[in-house]
Amino acid sequence: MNILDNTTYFLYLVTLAGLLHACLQLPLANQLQLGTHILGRGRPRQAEWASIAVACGAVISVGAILLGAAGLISLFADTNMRLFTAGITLICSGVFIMFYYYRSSAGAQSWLPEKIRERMQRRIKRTDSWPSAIYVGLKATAYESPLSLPLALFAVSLLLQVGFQDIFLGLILYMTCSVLPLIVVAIAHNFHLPLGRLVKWRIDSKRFWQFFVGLSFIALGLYAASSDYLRTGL
Amino acid sequence: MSTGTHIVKRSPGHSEPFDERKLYASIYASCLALRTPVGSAEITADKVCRDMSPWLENKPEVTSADIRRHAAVHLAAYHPNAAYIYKHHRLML
Repeated sequence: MNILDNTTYFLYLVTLAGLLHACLQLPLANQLQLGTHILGRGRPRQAEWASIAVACGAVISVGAILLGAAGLISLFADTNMRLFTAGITLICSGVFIMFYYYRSSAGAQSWLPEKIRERMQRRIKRTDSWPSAIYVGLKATAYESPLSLPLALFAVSLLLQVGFQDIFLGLILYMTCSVLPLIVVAIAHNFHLPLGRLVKWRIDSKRFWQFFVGLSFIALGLYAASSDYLRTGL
Repeated sequence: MSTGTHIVKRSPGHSEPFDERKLYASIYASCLALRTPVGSAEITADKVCRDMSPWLENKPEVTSADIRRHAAVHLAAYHPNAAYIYKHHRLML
């Protein structure tokens, strides 16, 4: 049975890729930081819409990443080569995530260079309108694009093999799944739920999370690369 | 409060006189970030500032990191979750 010809199976894999994209936590960290910062200034209403705005910014950025991935993947005429490339880049990203995603210092500091993180902190402190909150979400997702691009390459490679309507369904699934944590946090903000426990959980479970996400990237990459291998018979 | 203490900041060669209002504001903000009622946040910030006074006395210089660590310990006695946010808010990205 050649399961990769099955559209439903493709869409499951695209959803899985979207969920793995959601596991990259920089946009979530930005959203939480911005939310706590605005709440700390005594503006709960502003924190609610800022949280939604960050999610909107992330959606725009994920859309741009998917477009970029479509552009890159179109360089390869052959489907097998596309999947192989996506697989190899996924494995590289997975190894990077496993060893370098979080710094060894206290807290949950990401792999980004110190200067960029400080600039992000300053940007969050200055954020006081919805366009700047959208920009925070957009930028945070864009900064993680070196790690999320392989997932987008994989999803786009699969979606190019399905029907026109299913392409849109796949894109919507990917985009929704990739910003799911941001949507959940935005809802939590709007229901006035305190997010301190989420912040604590993020920091306490960072090593497990890093290992789990890295391993999942590698597993998906191996699958993508080897399924290509099996299909071409190389 | 004027303790005569100077805070050494992260940037080289930069220090400034200790300002209790800044400490109060940062603790108050941490409490508000967890949707603590305003009155309760004020009381907590006030208590932590009072608890910090003996430690700050007779210290000509302290670092801002020292203040953060000690304030977090005192804050944990009143509001553990706020203390966690207070301690880690610079280390979340």
